[in-house]
Amino acid sequence: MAAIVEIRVSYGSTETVEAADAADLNLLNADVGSGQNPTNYPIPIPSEGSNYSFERWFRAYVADMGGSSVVKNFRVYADTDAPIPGTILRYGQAAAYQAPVNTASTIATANIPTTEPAENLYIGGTAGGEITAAGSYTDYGVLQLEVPSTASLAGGTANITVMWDEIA
Amino acid sequence: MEATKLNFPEGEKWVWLEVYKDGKMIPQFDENSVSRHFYDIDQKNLEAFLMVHESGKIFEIPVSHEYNWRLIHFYRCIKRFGKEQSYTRFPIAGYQITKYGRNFKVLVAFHDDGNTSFVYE
Repeated sequence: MAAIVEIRVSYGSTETVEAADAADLNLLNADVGSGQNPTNYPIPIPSEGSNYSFERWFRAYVADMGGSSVVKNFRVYADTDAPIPGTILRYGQAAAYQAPVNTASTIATANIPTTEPAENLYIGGTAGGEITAAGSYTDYGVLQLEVPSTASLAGGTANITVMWDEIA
Repeated sequence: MEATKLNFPEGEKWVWLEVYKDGKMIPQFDENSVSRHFYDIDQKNLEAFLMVHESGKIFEIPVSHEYNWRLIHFYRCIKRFGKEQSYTRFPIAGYQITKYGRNFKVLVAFHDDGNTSFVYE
């Protein structure tokens, strides 16, 4: 039996945690929850410099162990780090929540991996952590999109993958 | 030797079968679809570790007691967000040995359709 693992989005200056699996991990020009129409929150291309999406904060939540004894080794990556030509999709992680910003993130600072990385969504603040009971969270993953003045005027999609291992 | 009945709970295409040196065989799932825990496997007395597909296909994970051989089994779970969401889960099994001070892993992914592929980590 599989564990039930939800990817839960957090947002707001005071943290609001979505109580269910995220509808999406869209990067928007507003600090709102998942399930929004992205065309309502476009990130304009600046005439110079860069604009930034609001950071998208999320965690994995183990709602039910499903008979597994351990859930671990969370990894986050995407099929591209430039969902629109000229843009840059970045990723980072944090053990504690901070209000999302739409300036250059101090957490999502590295281009998101585009191949399977080593563990990059920790549990308990360090690599090698394990979840052994339902009701537990990983640390936070943080995504942000940089839109420089040289970006193409277009829509685009990155497919974000969250991967983990379960031991019976 | 008494036949061992394998139970494939809903959604489980592959199950493991532990075969011990004394001839005892223990399936992963009991008749109530409760899984054994991986850490319950007595690796020191294991004669064979079989992965069995619901179609009857069998894949044997080699068992050795040299080079600090350790059995590996886990489920890889993949959730994708994008234009469409998807969720995939499949078992990976294999072993790790330590030789000349280095760890070597051999891992095989077991896909729902009965096919297998090597996993590089």
